Amino acid sequence: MQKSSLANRLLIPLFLALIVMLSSRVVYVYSVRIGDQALYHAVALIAGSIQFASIVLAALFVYPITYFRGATAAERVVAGSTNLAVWVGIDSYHVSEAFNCLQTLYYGMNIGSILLAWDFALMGILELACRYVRKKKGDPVRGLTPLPFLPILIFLFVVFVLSKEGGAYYWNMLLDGYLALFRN
Amino acid sequence: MNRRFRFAGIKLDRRHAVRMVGGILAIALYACASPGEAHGRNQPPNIVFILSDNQRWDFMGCAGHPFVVTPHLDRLAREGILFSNAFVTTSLCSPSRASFLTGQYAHTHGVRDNLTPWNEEKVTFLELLGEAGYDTAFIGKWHMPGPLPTLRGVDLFVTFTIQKGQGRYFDCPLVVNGAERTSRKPYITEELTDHALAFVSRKRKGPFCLVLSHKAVHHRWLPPRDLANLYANRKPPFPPEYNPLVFMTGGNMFEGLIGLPDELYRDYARVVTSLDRETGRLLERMDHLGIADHTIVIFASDNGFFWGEHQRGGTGRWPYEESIRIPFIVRAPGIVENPDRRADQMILNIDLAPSLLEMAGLPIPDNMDGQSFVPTLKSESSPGREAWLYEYFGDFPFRIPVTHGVRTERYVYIEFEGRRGRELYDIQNDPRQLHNMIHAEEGKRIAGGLKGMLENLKE
Repeated sequence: MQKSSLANRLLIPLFLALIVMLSSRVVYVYSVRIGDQALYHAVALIAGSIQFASIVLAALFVYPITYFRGATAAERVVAGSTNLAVWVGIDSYHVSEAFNCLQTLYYGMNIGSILLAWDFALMGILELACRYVRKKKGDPVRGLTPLPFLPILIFLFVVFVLSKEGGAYYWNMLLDGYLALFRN
Repeated sequence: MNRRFRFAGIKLDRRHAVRMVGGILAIALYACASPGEAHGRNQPPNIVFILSDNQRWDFMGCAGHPFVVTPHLDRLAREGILFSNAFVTTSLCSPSRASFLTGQYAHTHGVRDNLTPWNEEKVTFLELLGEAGYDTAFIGKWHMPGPLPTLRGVDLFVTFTIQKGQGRYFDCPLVVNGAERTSRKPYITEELTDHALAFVSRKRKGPFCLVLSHKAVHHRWLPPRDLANLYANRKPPFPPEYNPLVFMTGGNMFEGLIGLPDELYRDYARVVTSLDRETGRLLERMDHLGIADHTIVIFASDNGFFWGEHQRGGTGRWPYEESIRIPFIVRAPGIVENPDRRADQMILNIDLAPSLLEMAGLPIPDNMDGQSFVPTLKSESSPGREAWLYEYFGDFPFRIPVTHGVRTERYVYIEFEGRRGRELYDIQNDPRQLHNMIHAEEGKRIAGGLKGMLENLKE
């Protein structure tokens, strides 16, 4: 498989996904200024949905593009998780209005780790899918290896923790951690 | 031998003496068996304080909600006073609950957020009433961090500790005077009301004070099964700034508003109606016992709730009207002048404790920050307070900065710590608080005075 230039294999897909996320976010935030109620709801719904998809499903588009353009594994992971990392940064910035740096970091790491667990699991599945496509084309590529399965297993564990007691278990764990770190 | 006895100067033989003692015992037994008859009208009144959780001020028929049916709360309002300007000084569960109980601001009682433990040394109105001879009960949601307190002066303490004190709507395990018990009824509001019914029906000579603190109307808004389809065709009156994704953005997801917004709203409304129904059971029992006209009943909530206003969803915290304003009804037979009226005077959660003490004929401790609203009950023209302090000290992980504000009859002036800065709204002309006047000429002119007022209140 031929390796494209850095711009082609990494920067362009990465920034395109980022632009989609940021622009849909701007449209969503300012849609409330639309006077017509029905139009406002429609614009907010579309822009909000695109924003949501561009955060949690960005890897679905970015990862295969970077893969087939010859990006390294590290480049693929960076490209596939940039939107999510930026969103966690924006969200943490808002949280920092109410909490100090360390508390904000604790928040960001918690939210970020959940989202990254999802993102890495998605990339694991995509890695296997991309290898399968290449193999079918007759390229000399490794098939099933343990590494892509690891994030999938981790994510399943995260889902288990998050869903335990209808979410209350994780919520209490989050608060207990906060208390242990910042109140004692 | 026919022995003779003297009673009040009257000579009685044994037969007459036995009859007299028997009569006295019979009266005493009757008195014990019929609480209503036993209460002399010179005795302090019974007190029932019903606390709802996260119930907005306008989720009652009598408050003008377009479809929520609350006939029993409406009845309370008809037979008493509906306060249309009742507020909490901190719009957050634990601090607000502690304020109701102690008559103090959060900065005084120390429960500054939902993670700060209750200080056992704090004195509640229940303790003071207990010392004065009241039979007292706290039944329901305690929801303050730390181990369950001893609650001095409380004879019956029924609560739950599961899920950090939030409890659950179905089959919630209880703690009754320190001992774990299973729920006898599947639905929590019915179970708690059953405990309340048993308490008010007890044979007693003195007055009682009951705090009935419901889990409803807190997240996850699970209605009883027979109300699961109530309001199925009603369209929630969301505000203009609401959109279908608003509860999933801006940190609102931590409020648990995950699902179809219309259905979440209807579930909330259903749980309100179920709480109303249980309130009706309690009122009917007191009617049946004949104690209603000697029992003060107060209904309130610990804070408000956003349903899309300011693009927010969930528990209050913010210093805006939907958050700080609470339902507040007082039925106090013999005290309320001209029942079936609305009172516009501003009252606060910290006013409850001093008011109850005054109605019970007890002195109000100096360390209470609130002031009695009894004058407002007695007179429509009683002057209310001019301004009051709002405070919020943060609550992880909710992104609302530390807040101090002053609310007057016309304005609310807010100072957020950090980047958010200051806000000023004219409640009369901008009741939905959409136009921050702080940078306008008029705002600059007004803000100085309000800031001074705020600093005075903070001292």
